[in-house]
Order: sequence, then structure tokens, then C-alpha cells
Amino acid sequence: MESNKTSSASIAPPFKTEQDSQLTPPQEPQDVTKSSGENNMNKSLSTPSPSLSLKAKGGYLFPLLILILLASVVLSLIIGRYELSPSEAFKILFGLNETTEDLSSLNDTIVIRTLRLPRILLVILSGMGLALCGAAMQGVFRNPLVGPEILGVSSGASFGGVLALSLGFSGGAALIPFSFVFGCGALVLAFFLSRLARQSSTLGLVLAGIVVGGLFGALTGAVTYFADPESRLPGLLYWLMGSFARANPDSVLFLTIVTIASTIPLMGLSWRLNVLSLGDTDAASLGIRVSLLRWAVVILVSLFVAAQVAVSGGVGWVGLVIPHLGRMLVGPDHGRLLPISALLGGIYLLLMDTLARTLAPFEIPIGLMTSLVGTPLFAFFFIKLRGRGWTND
Amino acid sequence: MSFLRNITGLLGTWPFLIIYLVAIALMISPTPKHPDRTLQTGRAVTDMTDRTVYIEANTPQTFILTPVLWHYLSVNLDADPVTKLPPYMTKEFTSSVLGSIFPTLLDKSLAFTDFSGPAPISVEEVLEANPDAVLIWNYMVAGLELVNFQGTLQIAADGGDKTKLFNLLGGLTGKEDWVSHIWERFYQERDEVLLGLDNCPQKTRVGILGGAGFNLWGGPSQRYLFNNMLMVCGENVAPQMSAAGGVLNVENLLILDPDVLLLNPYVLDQTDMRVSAIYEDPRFQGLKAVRNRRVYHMPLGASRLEGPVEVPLSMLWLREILNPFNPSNLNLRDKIRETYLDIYGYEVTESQIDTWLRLEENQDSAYYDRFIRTTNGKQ
Repeated sequence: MESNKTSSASIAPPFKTEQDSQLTPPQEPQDVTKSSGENNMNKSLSTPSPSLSLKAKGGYLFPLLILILLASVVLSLIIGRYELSPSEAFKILFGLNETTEDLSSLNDTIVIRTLRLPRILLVILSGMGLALCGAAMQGVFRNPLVGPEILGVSSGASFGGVLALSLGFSGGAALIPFSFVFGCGALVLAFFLSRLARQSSTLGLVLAGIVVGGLFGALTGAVTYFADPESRLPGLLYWLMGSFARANPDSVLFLTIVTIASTIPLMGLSWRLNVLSLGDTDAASLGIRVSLLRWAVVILVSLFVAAQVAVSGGVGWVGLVIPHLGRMLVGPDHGRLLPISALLGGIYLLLMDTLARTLAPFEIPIGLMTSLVGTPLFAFFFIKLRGRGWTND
Repeated sequence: MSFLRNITGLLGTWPFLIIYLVAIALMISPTPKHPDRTLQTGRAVTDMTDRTVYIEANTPQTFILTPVLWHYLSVNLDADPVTKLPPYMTKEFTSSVLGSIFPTLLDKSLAFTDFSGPAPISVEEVLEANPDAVLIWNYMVAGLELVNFQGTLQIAADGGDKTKLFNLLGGLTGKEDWVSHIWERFYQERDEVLLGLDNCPQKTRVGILGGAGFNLWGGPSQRYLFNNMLMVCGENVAPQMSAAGGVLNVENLLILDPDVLLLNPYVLDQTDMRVSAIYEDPRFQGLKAVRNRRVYHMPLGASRLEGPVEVPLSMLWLREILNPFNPSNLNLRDKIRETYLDIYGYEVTESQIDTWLRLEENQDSAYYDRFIRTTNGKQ
């Protein structure tokens, strides 16, 4: 009983409003040093709920998801428009194939090493990062409707990309820096807006994000509207819908470096995110520098989102939907939610991209695929969960 | 304690670190590509970006991913090397005389859907088909460049310099002499059309409707058409409007009030506009072009009236429409017949000429009776 009591106090509903937290009566002293995941598990086991079995399996979930991710990689490597047997694909992957001068043999190697492998890596990194960032942002903002693009960073990055394309820079060498710089610029703009309004609360940040996102959305619309319909517009429209067709070693390397710099620190902040989910006042009383933590998370997420949009264009719904699935599986403890969401995001986006490049002889925009699948998934969670998974109740 | 907690949080990241390290290791290792084709045994073909490509095959199998297919056909006169066909091109072919000249085209397998505009081709699809050459828009080329595909021939998406395009096609098919003939013919025919039009003291103001909704064509993408129009004393009423962004409201059209209103020649125009609908629409009754019955649907042609084969024909048509009191001595129906016979070796029927002219749709417009065939089959 004692354990349950402590648990329910230490992991409060993560999405209560600031007003709620101000109205909440003083709570019992909380043991934040105790692993919140452990508390979560205790609570889950002691309180029967529909998600009980899934939470109880949390220990096996991580290795299971890694296996599924590996299986997805294998699947994605061997299927595509270019026909290759699985054994041939693996021989090429591990350098066991015979090298001949034959063009057909060279094409086999190119398809695996130059086309599919970089693309798979880029997709996994993007999916993992987006889902992880989405989970972190939902934790920081204590709002299930928040995605990583809430601060207008993806709009800024999209504008940068569209601007580069409209100026005739179709290669990644110009597209990626343009997009990344404008994405980061959007964050800086949002920061100064919230400072000017003397609002560092979640509400202030969201409002600043809406303003910045709206501004860059309008600028993107203007550039698109005036683009030459034959030489520029098709490329712009396609890029805006997102695609990993441009994946190459440089873009993978770039995204890997930014991912390391942003997502690993985010995971290191997971226990602080748990404390932040108690509400600003409670977190502050427990020694957390709320404003600093919030900005740290927002900056890390923004860095990743700007880089992701730069390499592939906009990919919607992953950062919004996947954390819901993760929360359904392991509950709201960020120590487990972040890595589980990341793995789910990687698997989901990889499967979507495999379909996008395989179903038709042309590239289906990945943004279309994730939206078409993501919206019914979101509706499913909305209907099925009815709020469960957001708290330990 | 705080440091220890952070470290504990990071322990769960090991699988990700492995993924990151694998990504870095794989990506800094060299990736295989097609080797540069330096062997100059084949034909040297210069594409529209001035890049030289060596084509080794005598009759190169060609993957054509742009509407330049009709230009390719006017040069090669053989559809066999065309490996695949976008569906939107099949609609153009069935509607125009090209479908009758090259009936085997309609048996080709389809490469794209109508969504092909903004969607880049799957590089795997190209490698699977393994053609000798790929004609592709310059903005779609990134994927093929990634694997250093040697047969990539870039086409300028904004039309670009048609001389370069035809030199490319001549080099690709080995028919440079035929391309020279096409150009010589073009200049001769064009000069004949322009005879008697000195300096154009007064220009007819022309608006071209097209695209989704009542868009007024302007901007750079239809420059070929407007440049030709200038030579036959017509001027674009809205040069400042971008073809994509120039969504027109009726008020603007009333202010511009063109002398002649043309409906664009594209078969796949989403608006499905018809001349009779413009005449009957109460919103347009104040327009000079409607009052004077000078609304025309542009001819169908075999190549959207682009390029050296059909431009003299479209210019002759425009001259007759825009200068009804200073007509050419040339007979358009005869010229259509001669052109198709000379270029394609194909005898067009009177009925096909009627279709070319969109006679049925345009017959109620002013001065169009000059194009109606006479009882002996001539104009």
C-alpha cells in the first residue's frame, strides 16, 4: 500500500494545466530519487487496467522492438522496385558478392549500398528522432496534442528548403543548410517573441510558435505561388510533401551528427521530464529550473526537427501519433517512453517509406503515407484509449 | 546524484549509439556508382545543361520522362526505342494525330501515373529497365546523379532553347541531318507566314485562359507561345501574371478586356473549358472578345504547338485569327497536310485536319469559316 501511495504522488497526471497545478492542494513529500519507471510499474501492477498486460511486458518490449526494427531493416533491404533475391542482398551488404565488370552486377550493388542502405538509415534516424522529440515535447507541454513542430521550426525549415529550391539550388549542398538555418531561425524568433511578451510558460511558447509557424507558412505559400509552374513548382510541391528519395551518405552523416547531439541529451533529461510533468510549481519546489529545462528540451527538439526537415522535407504525424502508442505500451515514465517511442518511430517510418518507394514506379511522398496511416491511427488511439496511458490511473 | 541520474538515463541509449555508429561507419565508406563512361566509341550527345554523354548503342533504348516525346518522334520517326510511356501522354496521343501516326505507342507499358509532374522517378525503376538513355527534367535528376547513371540527358523544364533540345535528340538517335532539315524547314515556313506583316503598327491584345479555374496565362513558362504571338502582331494582355499564380477573377478579366480570348491547347486542362460556355456565361458578356465572337480554343496539334515542326502552323493559325483583314496567302489546311507528309510521311485526312483545328468547337467564332474545308476538300 505504501508503495502505491508514493507512486501515485510521484507520477502525477502529466497533462494537467498550470491552473490545475496551482489549484492542487499541497501533496505529500515525493520521492523523486526513486526510479519513476519502477513506480509506474508498481502502480500498473497493483491497479488493474486494460493496458496492464502491455505495461507488465515492458521489460521484454525493448529487446522485442529492437528485433522488429532489425526485421524491418531486412525487409526494407530486400524489397523494392529493383528485383533482388534476399541472399544476393545480404551478400552485397556484407561484401560477400563476387565483384564483376558486369553492369547488372554493379546495379545490384548500387541498389543495396547506394540507394537502399543510406535511405533506410536516414528513415530510421528520422523516425526515431521525430517520435522521441514528440514524446519529449508532449511531456514538456503536458499536452497530448503537441508535436515536435509546435514551435514553428518545421515551418521555418520548410520555408528555407522552398526558398533554396525556388532559387534553383536543387542539390543537398545548398538545400540542407538553407533549411536548417531557417529552422533554427524560426526557433530564435519564437524565443525572442516569448521574451518580448514576457512569457516563458508553455502557453507563451505555444503562442510564439503559432505566430512563427504562421509567418513561415505564409512565406512558403508566397514562394510556391510565384514559382515557375514548369521549372520550379513541381519540385517545390514534392519536397514539401516529404521524401527520402534524396537520401545520400552526406545527408545521413549530417542527420546522424545532429541526432546524436540532440536525442541523447534528451534521453539524459528523461527523469527531469518526469518531474516536470508534476507541474511547474511542484517541479520548481523540487529544485528543477523549469524555464531552463523547458528551453533546453525545446532547443534540442528544434535542432533535430530543423535537420530532419532539411534532409527529407516535412514528415507529419510521426511525432504526434507514435508517442501515444508508446505511452499505451509503457506508460508515461519518460525513462522508458522516450526509447520505446524512438524504436516505434523508426519501425513505423521505415515501413511507410518502404511502401512509398515500392508501391508505384514513382516516389509516393512520405508525408502522404504518414498522414494517410497516421490519422486513422490517431483516431483509433483517441477512441480506444479514452485518455488511458496519459496517467498511471 | 544528478550526474548519476543523467548517466542512468543515458544507459538506455546504447542501441541508438550502435545505430549511429553503424550509420557513420557505412556512410564514410565509399558507395558504389556507375563508372564514368570515358570510352568515346559511342556518339557524343550534349544535353540541355551542356553536359556531354556518350551513348554506345546504335538504337538506344530510351526512357522518356517528359512531354518531349513528340519531339523525339519527329526526329526518330520510330517509336520502338521508347521503353515506357507516361499515361498522360497516351491521352495526348489518342486525342491528336500522333496516335494515328504511331499506333504502336499506345501498346507501350506505362511508366508513370498522371501524378508524374512533381514525383521523381524511382531510380530503382530506371536501373531495373536499364535503358541506354533517360530523358528527364533537370529538377528530377538528383536520384540518377546519386548513382552516376551515365545515360542521363537533362531536359530544361521551362522549355529552354529548342535548338539545344533538337540537337540532343539528333545526337541521341544519330539523325543530326534530319534535325538540320527540320530547322531549315522551320525558318523557311516561318518567314513565309510572316510575309506581309511589317512592324505590326497595331497589336491585338490577347488573353489565354488555362490551368485550374480561369487562370490567365502569363509569366515565363509560356514564353514560347507569347514570343510567337508577338511576331504575328499579338501581345499578351497579362505578361505580369505567373501562369501558376495568376488565378484570375472575372473583375480582372473585365478590366484587361482582351480583343481575343484563347483557350489553351492542353488536352488535360482541368477546367474543361469550352468556347460555347464562355459565350453563354453571363459574367463574360461585357468582354470585347465575347461581344465580337473572338474566343477560340487553340488547335490541338501534335506537340502542343511547340517546337520547329508545328510552330509555323500555329503561327499561321494565330496570324489568321489576329489579323483577319491582313490574311496570309498561305492555306492552313494545305500547310498542315504538307507538314505531316514531309516530317512524318503521313497523309492526314480532312477529318483529322478538322480535329486539329477544333473546327466543331470554334466554328461559331468570328473569321473561323476561312478554315472550313470546301466541297473539293480544300480550304
